[in-house]
Amino acid sequence: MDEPIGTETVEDQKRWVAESMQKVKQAHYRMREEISRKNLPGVLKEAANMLSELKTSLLSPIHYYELFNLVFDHMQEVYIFLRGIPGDGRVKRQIYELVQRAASLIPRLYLLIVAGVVLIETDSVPKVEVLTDIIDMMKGVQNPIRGLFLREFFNRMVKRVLPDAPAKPVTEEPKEAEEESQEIEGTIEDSIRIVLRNFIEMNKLWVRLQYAQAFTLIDKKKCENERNQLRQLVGTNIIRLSQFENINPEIYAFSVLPVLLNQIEKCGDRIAQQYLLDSIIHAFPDQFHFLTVDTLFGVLSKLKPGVVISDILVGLLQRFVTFLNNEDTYPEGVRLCSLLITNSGLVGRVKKQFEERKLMASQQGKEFAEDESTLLSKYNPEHPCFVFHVISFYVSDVLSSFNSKPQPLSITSTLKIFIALLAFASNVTHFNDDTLIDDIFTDIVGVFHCNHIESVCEKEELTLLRTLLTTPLKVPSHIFTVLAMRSFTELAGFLSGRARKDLALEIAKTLIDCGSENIDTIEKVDNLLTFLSPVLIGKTVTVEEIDERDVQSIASGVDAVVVEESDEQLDTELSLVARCVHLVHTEDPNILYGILNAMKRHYERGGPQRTPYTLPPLLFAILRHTACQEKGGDDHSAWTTQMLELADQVIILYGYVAPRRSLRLFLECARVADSCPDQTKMTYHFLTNAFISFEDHIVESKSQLESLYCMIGTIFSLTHMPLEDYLTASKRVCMLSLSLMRKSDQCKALCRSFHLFYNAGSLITKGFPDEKEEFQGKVENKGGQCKDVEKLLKWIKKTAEVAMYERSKRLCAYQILCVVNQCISVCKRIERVEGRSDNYSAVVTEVTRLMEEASRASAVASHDRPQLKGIVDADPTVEELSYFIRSCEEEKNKLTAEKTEEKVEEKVEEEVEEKVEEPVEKVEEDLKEEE
Amino acid sequence: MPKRILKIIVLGNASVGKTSLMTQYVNRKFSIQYKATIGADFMSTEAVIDDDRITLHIWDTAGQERFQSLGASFYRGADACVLVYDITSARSLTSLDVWRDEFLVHTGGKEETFPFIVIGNKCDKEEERTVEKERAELWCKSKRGKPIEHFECSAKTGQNVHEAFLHVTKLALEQDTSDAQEVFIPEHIDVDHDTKPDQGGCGC
Repeated sequence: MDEPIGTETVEDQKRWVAESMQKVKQAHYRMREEISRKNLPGVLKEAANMLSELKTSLLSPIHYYELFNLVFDHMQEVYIFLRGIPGDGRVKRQIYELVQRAASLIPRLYLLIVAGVVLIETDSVPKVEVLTDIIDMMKGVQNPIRGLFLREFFNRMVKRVLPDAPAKPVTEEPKEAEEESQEIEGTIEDSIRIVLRNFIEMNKLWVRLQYAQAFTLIDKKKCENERNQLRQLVGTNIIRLSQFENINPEIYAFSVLPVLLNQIEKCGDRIAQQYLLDSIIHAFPDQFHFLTVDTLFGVLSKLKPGVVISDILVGLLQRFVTFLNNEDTYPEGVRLCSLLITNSGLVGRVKKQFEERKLMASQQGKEFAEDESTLLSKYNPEHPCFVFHVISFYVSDVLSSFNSKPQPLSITSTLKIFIALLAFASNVTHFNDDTLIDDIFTDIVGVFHCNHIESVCEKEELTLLRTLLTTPLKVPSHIFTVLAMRSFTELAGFLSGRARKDLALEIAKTLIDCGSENIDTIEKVDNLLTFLSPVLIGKTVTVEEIDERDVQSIASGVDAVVVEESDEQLDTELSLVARCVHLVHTEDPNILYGILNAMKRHYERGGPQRTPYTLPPLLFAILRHTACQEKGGDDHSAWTTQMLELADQVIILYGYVAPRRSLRLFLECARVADSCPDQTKMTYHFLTNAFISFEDHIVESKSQLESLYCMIGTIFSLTHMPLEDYLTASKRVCMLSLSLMRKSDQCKALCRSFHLFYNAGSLITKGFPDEKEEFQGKVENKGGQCKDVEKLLKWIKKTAEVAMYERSKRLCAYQILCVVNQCISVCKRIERVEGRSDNYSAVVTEVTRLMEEASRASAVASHDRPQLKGIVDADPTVEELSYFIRSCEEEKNKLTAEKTEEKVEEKVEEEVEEKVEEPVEKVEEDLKEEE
Repeated sequence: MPKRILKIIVLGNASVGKTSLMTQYVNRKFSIQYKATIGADFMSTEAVIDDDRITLHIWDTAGQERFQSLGASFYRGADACVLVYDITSARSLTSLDVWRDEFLVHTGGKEETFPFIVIGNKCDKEEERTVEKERAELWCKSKRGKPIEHFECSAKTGQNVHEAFLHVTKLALEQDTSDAQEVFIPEHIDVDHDTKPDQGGCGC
């Protein structure tokens, strides 16, 4: 054979196949003419011409298949023609003999098959005999490609005549009767024999192709490629077998599978083993596999190296899942499994393995914790996860047999198998038994250790490992159970940096998305946050390692272990993780404290880069829980103190990173502490801390003023503080106000500070107002208890002094007006508490005096009244002032009815009215001019 | 003379029930067991239409591509094509586009005229339905040429199966008679022309 192998091109192939097909068409045309003439020898001759084209050795499998399909379609016409020839079996047999006179082998055999089928279809012909005859003759073609296609033709043609009658029961009937019963029709057993024979021959041809071509120059890859293309032909036999209607599990288990597996094992060819096992698993019903688990798994461990065992196992496990997931078939699955237990001696193997482990443990001096009866109970059909345990035993058996070979399974394969096993567990048992997950994870860790794998870095492996780890986490209620498993954390530890962190984030996301408040033990929070540590701390480290590393990094002064992340990334990640604090819910205050305390402990490890994200939510959670707990009892008091102290610690930690923000947090704490009547000490403590924080960290004058406002507001709202402490704090705020750099700032701060000396009667809103609802309905007359009018007046005077210190007369007048304005609201409060009492009058007198001052200042500056108006305009509180002026008119007359005052009043009133008409732009211009 | 053998190809995603539909049509039987079809396989049956006895070759295909290792050259010469989806799987309907396109590419059939029908299988599982009948009909109308006929069948109960196959047979017959058949006209024989290398057959 001088085939131009190696030089042929795709174009050559296309041309050759086109030429061949052309010849087939020519022959087909002539054949049709012969058919219409009903000329049998002519038909056979042209059919043979057509078939001759299949003798070629030039075509690649794909193109040969193309040609073959065309010929096959045309041969159907020959079949119908032969079938239509009138006459009994004798005539058909003559045709059967006649076709054998064809000159060359290939056409002869194709015609033989067609004539054979026609012959079989007539009555009174022993089917099996004819079929066996054809099978024997087909042996004459030993060229792999031609042989395979010829047998494919056989498979297609004989489909309609293969006997499918149920086999006669062998038992009880005497031997002669059995022989007699071998009628012409045959039974399914005969068919199986025939198909299996064909299968064995085809498989041999297919495997031989590899070696036949090994002598030529075709490279190995191309050869394997061609073989993979041809596999479909061998697979047709398996379809035939699976499609017999009367094939039952028993026939399959005893007559079909052993032959197939024997062939698969014996052929010793990687491609064949891979494909055939895959086909068997997919082509036969699930139930059959369940019955033959033992046999199937027995073969798996004997396969050639290079067979991707994971694909086969995964396919098999998937089939089991579909079978067991069906309510109708599940009991059957359990029944088959228990049958398996009794037949396979599995319990014995379990026992044997148990003894081996025990022996090994005692040799190594380790403690052996397993209990034989618990182990064996898993393999009792009564056990709820019985089926899983049985299958799982087989899987791990195969795995261990593979891993003891010189070439252990790849990580990818191992992971794929375990993912399938986990899916099996999840579908079949719905994770009723958490130990299953633990067992599976422990097994993988074991395999990894065995293979000396320290971490998983490759992309595909990472994806697989993540799939594996996240499968049981899909159900949020399972997350904490899984997190508590040592095996889980250990396995997650194999993920390399980034992937490990992604997993942590995924868990946090699942928990938060599900939103159920189910963190109710310290253990849970510890497990969760330890697992989230790559996000919270920045590197995968276990709790034990952390302290060590911190010490080291401090000692070396380098923080190189922590991978720096962009702010944006930190923001997304930590904001997500920090939300976990909202999932805390427990009725037991002590556990609640423990959980929050544990969170603090975990968060503080995050360092300055991360704590700003995590600590504030924690703090507010602490405060919320403190405020929400039902009050009463000494225990409660102690507990509240404890919680507040925790809050204090959190702020101090936070203060290292954001000192300026801690002030407001202290104030917030003070407010919460004040809501508990027995926490006055803590309230004072928080205030003190706020003062310290002010003095230590607030340096900018703008923020000093703002911070002072906050402090004033907080102190003002305190209701339970002892008066003495309250006054001390108030005085302190006043002093701080005085210590501000700018006079104007001092004035602004003092304007608010003096309110503190009369905080009774303030309107405090309860809760938060709705968006549209007005405050009025919800306001409660509550307020503090301080009514120190003496100090109030003293500080009003002081404020006025500061205000008048301003050298610009216009500003001076404005500032005095501000003071007046503040005084008015104090007046209103006094009026609300005590009516128009002496205290009230005293303050009003002071106000009047101040207004006089203001008028004096503004009178001087009357030449540039617009400017003053501009300034007044900038302050919205002036409206308040005009309101007051109108409402107090009556009162004012009673006090001192001097004309000058009235003038001042009028003036002010005028100004206010004019101001409304003034356009804004004008005012702005005025201001500029002033500058 | 009209062709007396009609070739019909059944296509669709894995486990939509192609084999089951065929078995129901040819043998009037149904089995709950799932057996994947590996490779390509055909069933033959006879239909009587207008007193003509016609042999049908219905080709079953593997929904899973990896089982069709030799390609789809057996599509060639088909007279009609049955596209099958599963009413409980929306994806199986959208895949029909792919199957149809692939079929047309392999057979070289004309999109407008080639006879297709669409079967929505498993209509006994009404409670699990995810593909509304209207949606499938819309898909059928959206194709160029004559609107494709749509059937909802159940291979399990046999509902509508025979109607669907009868319809596709008729379509195929119409196609067969109306379309100018691929008539082969023999060329003159060029004696000198021999581009092909020695056949290299085994000579037997």
